[in-house]
Amino acid sequence: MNTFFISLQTEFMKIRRSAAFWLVITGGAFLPLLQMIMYLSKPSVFMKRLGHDPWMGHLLMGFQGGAFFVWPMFIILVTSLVTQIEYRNNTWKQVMASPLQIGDVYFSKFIVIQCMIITGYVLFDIWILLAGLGTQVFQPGYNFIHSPLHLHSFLMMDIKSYIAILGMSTIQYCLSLRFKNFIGAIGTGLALIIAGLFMLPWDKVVYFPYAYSALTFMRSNISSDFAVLKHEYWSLGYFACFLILGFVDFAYRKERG
Amino acid sequence: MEEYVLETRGLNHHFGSQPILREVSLQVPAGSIYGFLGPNGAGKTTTLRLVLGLLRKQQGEVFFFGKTLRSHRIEILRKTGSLIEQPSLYGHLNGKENLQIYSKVYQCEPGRTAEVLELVGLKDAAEKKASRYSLGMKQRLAIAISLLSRPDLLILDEPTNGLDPGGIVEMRELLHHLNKEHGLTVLVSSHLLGEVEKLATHVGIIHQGRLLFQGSLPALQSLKANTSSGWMLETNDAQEAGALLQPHFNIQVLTPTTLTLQVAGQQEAAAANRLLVQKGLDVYQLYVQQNNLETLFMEMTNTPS
Repeated sequence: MNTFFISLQTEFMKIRRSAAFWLVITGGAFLPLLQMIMYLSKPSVFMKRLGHDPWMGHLLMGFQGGAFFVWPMFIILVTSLVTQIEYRNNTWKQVMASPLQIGDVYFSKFIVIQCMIITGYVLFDIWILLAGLGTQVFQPGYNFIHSPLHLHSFLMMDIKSYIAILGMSTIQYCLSLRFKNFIGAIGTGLALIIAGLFMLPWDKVVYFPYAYSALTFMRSNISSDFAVLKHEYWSLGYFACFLILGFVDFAYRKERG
Repeated sequence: MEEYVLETRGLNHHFGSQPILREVSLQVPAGSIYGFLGPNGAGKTTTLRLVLGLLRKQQGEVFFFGKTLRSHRIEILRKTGSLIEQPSLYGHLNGKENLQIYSKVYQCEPGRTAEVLELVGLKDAAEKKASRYSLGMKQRLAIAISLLSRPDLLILDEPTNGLDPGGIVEMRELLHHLNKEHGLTVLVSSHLLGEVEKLATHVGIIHQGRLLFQGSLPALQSLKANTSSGWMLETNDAQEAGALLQPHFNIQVLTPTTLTLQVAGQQEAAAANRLLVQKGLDVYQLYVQQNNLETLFMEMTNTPS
């Protein structure tokens, strides 16, 4: 079997029951459950706020609520936790002394991280649906059951959000491979997210990838206009550049493991 | 001509301006247990990391089975099992799952995982999380990983570190078994001379980055017989004792408190003792050196570079 697919399989085996695995499984429920608690505790307020199209209002509240901090932080944690599996267990040296190409290890680990992030989106979507339906069950005054679901908008928001975080997650992957210390990788990522939030009013923020998730969802027409924006192109650019730069750095470092 | 499973030629390495290895040329014969011996910080781990490609080589050549790692990396690593420093295990997975990962990497046949678990005596602990293993169990699981591919060469860096005496004996028996029954060549580093003496067929002694001796264990023992037959003296000031004894006896200062002394017999030893006591020095011990390599090792590793 091709060593790349072997490496990919082993990377998936490593994340079983890891902290990153449990974060992905449970993380997607955080915001939708919070929304459901809000809806049930103040139905009169939120029935008005969600309006005549409750699914769209619910969806926007979920995406916009997470886009500024929760979702970027989730990406940083997942990326750092996956790479930290090797540092924390002191296993890099065993991986690097095994018969795998360096590129197999680097790219398969990146793919696993991206698969986990995409799984995070799928679970978030499922929890958004469940939160809407759950609200309807416990508070029949809401109108979720008779309103259209907007599956296309759902999917487009997922895609736009993913494009927006792709550059950031690639940079974070490179950082996490560099930092032996988990706190170093997380701390740097957190500082960059905060810097991004601080820079939002500045027009040059389109060049700062840690702010892209917020930039995508801070527009008023996000539910109807799905065109790819300037910063999303930049995100794809950062993804391509840092994936290659990170590989060069990984392959040519003096010490492995 | 002897066939070497692993050979390094003129390996030099430095961290910054500090030289770590100087012209290290290891020769590990096929079928041997090669004890790579040296005090802590002598350069053992750096040598093994360089050999496995975990450190980028600066100068020198490394040959496995006559081939260079650079051009035959995958082929060589498939035939080489390793354990460098502490065991590399995924703590959140159980023993069996750890083995399954590397079983996939080495493309082992089904059932090999169970075989190596049996071999290292961890069959009953296979379902236990690796983070809950004792250090001895972790070492054995790490060795099981390195044995998965039925390697021709096993490289172990201080595998008995942190083990209790029972664990050390078990490890030694396991390595003997693998060498004798499976024809495995073993390169094992240690700072414990006694351990290497009991285990190795060949020895390399490294100190301050230089290979001071390399050869079979009998060759090292005969070197000892030729070079040292003296007495060991322990005192409060070996330098001063050395200066007092030098005009009368052949001596070598080993440490600030020990020296070796060449004397013809007990009466000369007693005379040396008297001389030191009369000059106000304390003599703690004066004894004929035991028939082991300790002294030779001490002599070699205390020689100023």
